[in-house]
Amino acid sequence: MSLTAEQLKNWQEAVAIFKQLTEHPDDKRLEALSELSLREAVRQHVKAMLQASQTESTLDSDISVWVLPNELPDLSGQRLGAWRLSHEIGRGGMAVVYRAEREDAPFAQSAAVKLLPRGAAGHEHFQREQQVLAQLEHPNIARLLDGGVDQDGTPWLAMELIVGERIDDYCRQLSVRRTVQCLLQVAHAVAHAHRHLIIHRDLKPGNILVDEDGRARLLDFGIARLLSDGDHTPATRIMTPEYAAPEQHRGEAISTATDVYGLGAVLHKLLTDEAPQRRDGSRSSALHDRDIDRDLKAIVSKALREEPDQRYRSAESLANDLNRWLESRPVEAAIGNRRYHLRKWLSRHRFAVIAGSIAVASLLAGVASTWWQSRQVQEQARMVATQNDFLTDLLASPQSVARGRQVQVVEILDEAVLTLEQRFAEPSAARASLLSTLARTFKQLDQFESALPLAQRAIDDLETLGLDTDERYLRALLFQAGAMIAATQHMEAKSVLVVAITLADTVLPVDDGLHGLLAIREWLTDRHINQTPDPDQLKSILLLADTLNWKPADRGTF
Amino acid sequence: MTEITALLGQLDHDKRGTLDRLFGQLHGELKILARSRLRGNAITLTATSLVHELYLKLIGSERLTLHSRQHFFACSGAAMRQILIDSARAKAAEKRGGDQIMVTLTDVQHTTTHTDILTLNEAMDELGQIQPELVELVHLRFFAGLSMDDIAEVTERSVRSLHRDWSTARAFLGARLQQ
Repeated sequence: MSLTAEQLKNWQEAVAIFKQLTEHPDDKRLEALSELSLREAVRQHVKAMLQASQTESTLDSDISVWVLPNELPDLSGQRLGAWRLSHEIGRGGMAVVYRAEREDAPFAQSAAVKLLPRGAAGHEHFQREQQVLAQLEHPNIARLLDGGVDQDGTPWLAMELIVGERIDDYCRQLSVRRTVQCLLQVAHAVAHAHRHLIIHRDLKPGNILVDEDGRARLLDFGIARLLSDGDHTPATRIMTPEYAAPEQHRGEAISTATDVYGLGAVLHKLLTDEAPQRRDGSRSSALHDRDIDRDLKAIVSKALREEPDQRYRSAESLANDLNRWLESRPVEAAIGNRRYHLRKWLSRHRFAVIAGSIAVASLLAGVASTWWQSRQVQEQARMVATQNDFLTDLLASPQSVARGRQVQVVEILDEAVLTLEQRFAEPSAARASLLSTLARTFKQLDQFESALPLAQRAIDDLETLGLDTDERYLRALLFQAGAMIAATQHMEAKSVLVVAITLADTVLPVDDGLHGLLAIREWLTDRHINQTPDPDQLKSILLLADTLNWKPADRGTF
Repeated sequence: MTEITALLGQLDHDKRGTLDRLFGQLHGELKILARSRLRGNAITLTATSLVHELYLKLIGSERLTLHSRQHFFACSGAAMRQILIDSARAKAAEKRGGDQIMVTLTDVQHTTTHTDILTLNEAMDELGQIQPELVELVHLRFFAGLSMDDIAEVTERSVRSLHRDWSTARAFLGARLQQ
């Protein structure tokens, strides 16, 4: 497509300006551009060029030309080393694979012989790597049996012949549990290789076969590296984009964390039937969208983190977490996720934290007020439905509509309180929940005089219902204390918190995240009562927060 | 073989017609060379190594004028570009057969980047409208793989000004590719 006269003019101008700007040092160019008076289109073009000049480009690398013969000649019957090729069994982008039989052995031995592109690896490097790989012995790794370079320079490898199905096809008919167990075998295999300082670099479903007995086998260990130029050249050019880790895409150093990502990517595929990344480079949202156990999602996300040092420390820790999940124990990833988000949140609010200012305090307090989760999911669903009906009716009521835009939120809320009393005459969990919702809304509008009585009524309802050891009760107290703090009734807040903390200590598991929220509230009230900020105490609260098992509900809060 | 050197010698008389014929010759030679490297299984090689090998094969020890060398490489670069585009188009149309030469930019296992080549080609056509001499520079440097020093020698220009041109062409193409 060619440019229109208008576009041509703009670009010609942009190109000329860009050339001028190259006279300035890199970091001064944008500044220099801002001083020029230009038409907006031209300015945008120059900006795009400046940006492009800072990013890696196709033009920086050499184009590889991959020449394929029209018809590959049949190599059946030919001999490579001690192996006689029998017939072709597969063909990938990289290689042709033949089934082969060993000729010099006293017993029959079969292998999959892989022919690699000529000139793909230096002779010495190839042999050295091959020796390392030959030592890799694990029930879930296809063994390297032999290898060499043919007279014409074609490198070949003889691998243990595996008859099986690709892991993603195999797992399609399995339960999630069985799928995780299957991947666990692969994780153990990768961990074993890592102990021998060998990184796979190209983990993907196509490289994992499962045989009739359900035994998973990892193929092509170290092949990617075998084909790289040497130890210090990352084999970034040999990868599968959909399953490759971000550092591989960026051409950065590769480590065991790259394989942790690979395992996560394969698990992602097994659970969602999609790779974590699409061909066009966009991320798949399948993990979020699908109905998958939260803890399992947390495990996959942790393995797939962008930064290598934020993933599992090793394939082994990933395997351990998968085991924990299989045994229905709390997984590291869920706690870690919390920690990860907390850290991110803290780094975003670094300044406020250092200042120990009220801003942090209110942000932390805000976290608590967004919590409202029932233990009983079904009950929760029922309650939400009731609430929805209620609120829908309210907003659609003739009065609201008649008053149109004039209607004030506060008026609607006042009306809601009245309606609530009519519709729910008796105390119930649903009424308590609605009262709390209304109280929270009033609090957000700084209407404390309305919020506090409603919060108290929610608490009364829960007491009447005998739910005063329930998590909901604790949360209601927590909210009440928060509203009191906001209304500067610190002494009152403190006494509510004392009750709540005593109760929490007896009814909650020691690592429940609610402890953290209560501690934060207490710190806030103490601070106000004593009037002396105590950053050390805040620090210990944050440390405490770090060790608690936070519920997924507030994952998005930080 | 001698035909190419002969064509290079005729450039001064009939530039346009000779360039077309030179392009056609080099285009054919590059494909023959790529295919001749096949035996049994597939091979990878870089575009620029092909051009250089062709130079050694066709020109060998013959002495060419600077001008002829410039034309040889610029023309080979353009021919290489054409080969890559043809293969990318064939790939895009899922055509098979013929003498397949597949192009990969970033990875060996997948040939997903054929669209990159096509986009690059369009962007280069645009660059040709804006400043044709920048296109020749891209042919020399990217498709024929000449070093900046070599380019400076054959074009009789300073390395410094070539660098400026290159960074301009690179930035323009980069900006167009990102859109």
